[in-house]
Amino acid sequence: MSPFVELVAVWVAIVAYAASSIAFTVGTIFGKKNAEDVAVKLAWVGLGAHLVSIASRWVRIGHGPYLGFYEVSSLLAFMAVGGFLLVVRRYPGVRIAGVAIMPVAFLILGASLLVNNEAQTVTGSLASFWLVIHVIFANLAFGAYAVSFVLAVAFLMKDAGEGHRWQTLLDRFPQQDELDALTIRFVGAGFVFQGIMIASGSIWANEAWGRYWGWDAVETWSLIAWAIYAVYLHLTLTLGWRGRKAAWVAILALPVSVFSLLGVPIAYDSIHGAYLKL
Amino acid sequence: MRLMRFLRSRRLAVLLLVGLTVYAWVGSWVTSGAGGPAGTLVKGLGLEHPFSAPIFLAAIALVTLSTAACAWDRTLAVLCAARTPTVADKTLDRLVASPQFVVTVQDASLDRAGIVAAAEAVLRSFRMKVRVTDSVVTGSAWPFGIAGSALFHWSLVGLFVFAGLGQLTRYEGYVNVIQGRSILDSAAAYTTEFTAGRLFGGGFSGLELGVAAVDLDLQVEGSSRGAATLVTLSSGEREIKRQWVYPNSPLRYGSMLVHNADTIPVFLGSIRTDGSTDNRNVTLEFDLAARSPQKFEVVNDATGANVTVAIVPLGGERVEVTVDDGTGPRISNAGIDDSVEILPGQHLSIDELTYAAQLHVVDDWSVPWLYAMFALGTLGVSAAVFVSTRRVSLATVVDAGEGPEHTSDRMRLHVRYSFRRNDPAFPRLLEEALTQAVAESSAAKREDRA
Repeated sequence: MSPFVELVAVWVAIVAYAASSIAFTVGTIFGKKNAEDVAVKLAWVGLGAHLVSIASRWVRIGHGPYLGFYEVSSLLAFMAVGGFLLVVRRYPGVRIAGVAIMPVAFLILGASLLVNNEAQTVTGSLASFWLVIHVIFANLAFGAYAVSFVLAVAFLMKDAGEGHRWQTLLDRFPQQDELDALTIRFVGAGFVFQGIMIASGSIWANEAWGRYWGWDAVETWSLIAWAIYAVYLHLTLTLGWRGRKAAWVAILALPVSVFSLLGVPIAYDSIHGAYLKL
Repeated sequence: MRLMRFLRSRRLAVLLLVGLTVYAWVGSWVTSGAGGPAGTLVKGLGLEHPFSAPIFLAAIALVTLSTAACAWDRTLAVLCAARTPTVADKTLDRLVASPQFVVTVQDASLDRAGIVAAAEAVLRSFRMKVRVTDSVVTGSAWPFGIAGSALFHWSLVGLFVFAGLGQLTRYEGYVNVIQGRSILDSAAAYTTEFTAGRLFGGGFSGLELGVAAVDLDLQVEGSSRGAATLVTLSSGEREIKRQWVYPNSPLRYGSMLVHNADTIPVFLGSIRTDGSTDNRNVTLEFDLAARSPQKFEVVNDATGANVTVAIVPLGGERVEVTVDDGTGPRISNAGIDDSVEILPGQHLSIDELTYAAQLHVVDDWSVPWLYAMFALGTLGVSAAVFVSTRRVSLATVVDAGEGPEHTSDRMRLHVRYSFRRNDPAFPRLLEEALTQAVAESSAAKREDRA
């Protein structure tokens, strides 16, 4: 398959994500429901184009999107938007939180285009089915955390909007206790997925290098992100934190997760560096 | 008791998690090469060697004890839930005396059967198993969902314990084995690098590790796997296992795992002295990529001077031999079975140009147990997060509040419920659903009458 298809599709996705971000912003600021409808449709268009871009590259180079900064960040953006749109289908009231998630997806995908996007070869220690499991669960975890971030933002917006001129708009959100419950569910899902990601990585490391844990920077930061979400789950499920405080923890945890996936291989020397080669 | 209270404190658990996070952050920062006084201090404390740093080990011991205390607490909760009867007189008394919410039935003609049917449908819509007795309707969903949390915490305890014991008893190191030869898995074999846990008692496997063949570019199912080694494992004359070893395809035997860490070109030669039967064997390993010469020295007995012999692989089973006795280098190009004079009466024979495999051997019995703990932990945490353990009991009470009645007088629905914190919207959703169901039943009744 020609790289042209991939290139056109990824640019369509970027433009659609950017337009969706603008439409969400207009919808939020001016309380325009129509703008939100358009924003959601644009996000679906972007997601479709993004899927075409990822699939055509997969067919062309013969392996999934897990080697190099371009592929990894592109897939993360895809999972974040995909997760968000699935939640919006179930809970349409949450869609206004796209004002937070769509710009993030746009920036991640945009950043991926600034670096070398040449295909890398799967060799030696990378040739393992554990790689596929590891990457799938890393992305599922990120998608779930991104959705929990959106839900927590929605909670805070609803909370801040009580008695505000946006009240009518915010009334379309689910109830706050429902947003709370959903945030816990999505953090929980991300926590389980990240746990499987860490465990599968550990099994793979043992197969490839003869050690299941080596305190490599990427491994350590995965553990840090996991521990922070474990703190969130403890605060909500055992200490009974609710509302604003819990939402802020969910919001502040996402940058750590993003850094552990995208920032660490750049900031640190890591044996995992190959997968995020710029 | 005080210690137990301290260990099972939820706040301690959160603090330990935060502490672990900060420790890991500092550790990653230091190992990435951060310097300065802070870096020196942290390195001085040994924080960048987590498996052996006393502070880390103490923290992990505390995490393990705290997790075990929490797991025990949760286990007691599970046992308690298992013992709690679904319906008890006490439940009925509490329902009448102190309901958590009350649904008022507006239509006086709606009888108990109608209210119970409506409530039953609501409970079923929450995927509860419903039981109706003369006095009380109860519903429960996933009563043992709370076991997930206990399972997850016990799995974590198991993970810490097995990982700790594994680290204390494992051994790991590198052995170099020349193609076509073997070496006994013993302390003497680990000349390059060897580490062992503090409780490792020197119990090596005692098996022969052999390298039958080396392939510099093994093709498996059409794709290149790089350098690979055909490793054999033998006990005396009996070969136990034979397998190509390459990344992601280690040789596994019991708790022993053998990886191919490197493949090194080696030169095997011998020095013969005229008129003597004693041969001195020479084994040299080459850095083929750098094409750097490997050297050894011999002493000229006549002059007492050292003579340096340097060998460089040329490819195609030939080497370049440079002999330097201080009077200027003599360079020879030699192949297998050739010999080069290095001193008067002394010759270097080129016996073999072959490969040695650097095998990474690790013996850690705890690994399968860790995998089992991972699996159990995943099951446990999934149940803990996603399963909503819900219990509801409700009874119809006449306005006077004297107890359940079977009359068609105006009634109220008294409701008590329990739920887990992963399910905070449940009370509101339940109240809304019951109120709506009762209202709809009333409306239907009115329609029937009309």
